[in-house]
Amino acid sequence: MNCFSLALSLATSPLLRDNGPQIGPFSFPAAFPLMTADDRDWRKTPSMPLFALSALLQRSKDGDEGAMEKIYEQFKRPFFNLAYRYTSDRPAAEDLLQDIFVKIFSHLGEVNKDETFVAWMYRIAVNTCYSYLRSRRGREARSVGLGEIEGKNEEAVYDGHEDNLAGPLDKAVRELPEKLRAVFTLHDVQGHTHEEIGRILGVTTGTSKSQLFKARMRIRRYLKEKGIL
Amino acid sequence: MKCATAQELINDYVDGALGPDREAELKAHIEFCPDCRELARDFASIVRAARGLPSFEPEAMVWQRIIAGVRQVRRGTPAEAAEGRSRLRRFWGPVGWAYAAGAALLLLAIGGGIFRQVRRADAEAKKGRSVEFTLAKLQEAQSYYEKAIQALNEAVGSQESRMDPRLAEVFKRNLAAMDETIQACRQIVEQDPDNLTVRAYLLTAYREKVNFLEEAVGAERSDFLGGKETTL
Repeated sequence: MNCFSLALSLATSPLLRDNGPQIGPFSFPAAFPLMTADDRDWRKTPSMPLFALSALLQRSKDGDEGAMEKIYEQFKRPFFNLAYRYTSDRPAAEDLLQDIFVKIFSHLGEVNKDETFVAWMYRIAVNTCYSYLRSRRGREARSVGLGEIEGKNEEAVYDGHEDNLAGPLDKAVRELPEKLRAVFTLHDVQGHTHEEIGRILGVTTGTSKSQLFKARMRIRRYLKEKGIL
Repeated sequence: MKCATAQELINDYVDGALGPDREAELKAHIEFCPDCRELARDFASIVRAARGLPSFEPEAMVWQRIIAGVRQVRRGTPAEAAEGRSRLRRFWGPVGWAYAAGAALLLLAIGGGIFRQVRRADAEAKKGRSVEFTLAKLQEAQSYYEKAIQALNEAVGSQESRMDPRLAEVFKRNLAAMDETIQACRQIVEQDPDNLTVRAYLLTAYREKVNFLEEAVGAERSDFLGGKETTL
């Protein structure tokens, strides 16, 4: 994620926190070695201030494909990784990414305030992922067996990392209901604040927090059942 | 402090979002509550692992597909563009030259899919799996696709009579293009059955046809029911 924070760091009402989330304070008892120095600034800030993004937005509205490509380059990774958490399949995630950006660039006229542009793009990305899940459920009900064959190609991603949590955690995330998955991915994987998530998903900060808690509890239960935690 | 309250505080604590007073309360509770202590450890592990999940990069060719899609929407009617429908959904929109562009996009997607299948086949080979294993899986997948296409063809056939004649014409033209691709791949596979690359081409062509038919069935059903797709 990355261009999200710097893109808005100069905005009058910034969407992102300044230093990224932290895993607890240093002063916690030794029984809770929750945090290292690297954790404090885990979400490195990107490199596009709001005025630059605004300029790209305006040029894109005028049909400048070069400006569109720059916006794409800035946001392709977070959107692609969000899509991947929903598809579990690289080609399908690329198709979703295509849908997301075609929608974005086809509806730029709806963006009235530049400072809302990023949250607006994320909202499109999340909604497109939701739509994908719903249509996939319908397809799977009609064509049994295809998914099983194709899905096997994605299982090997974490073959070399079985000694850590990454692979099982990724599977646990894919088991989450769509909204909990969105909140967990946006907050814990990509580093958005609850305020940002609220703007993206159209929920209150409290709802975002409680959904994150539910998501973490479900993931914990999954990992416990697998004997990983 | 009750455990339910402590759990909520732990959720904030692992995000570094707890004030000093609440943190002190939490510490006091956790010191004597092994369950909450375990929860705090587990949440911290989950949060740290989530931050370390790998980040993937899309293929460079995706941008070409996106800009082709944007150009198509721009050339379409304003109403169609404003609806923000998905790529295949747009295909079923107002008739006109936009269908030709839709067909081109579809072929582009097939091309992209073929490329990805080849890459997958290569990746499988690099993992040291035998050619025989890969061939068997391809054969298995091909069999599934053929069955799925047969079933979908029947479903589409039952709806075709209700389809707008102009839509039906475009639909048939697209199917013909896909069948031509499948036929060409099958001929080469028959001549060279151990060629993994061509097998992958064939598989992708099948897959695209399945997707196309599924979308056709879904779009027809949705239109028939008067449903609206909202994505924004």
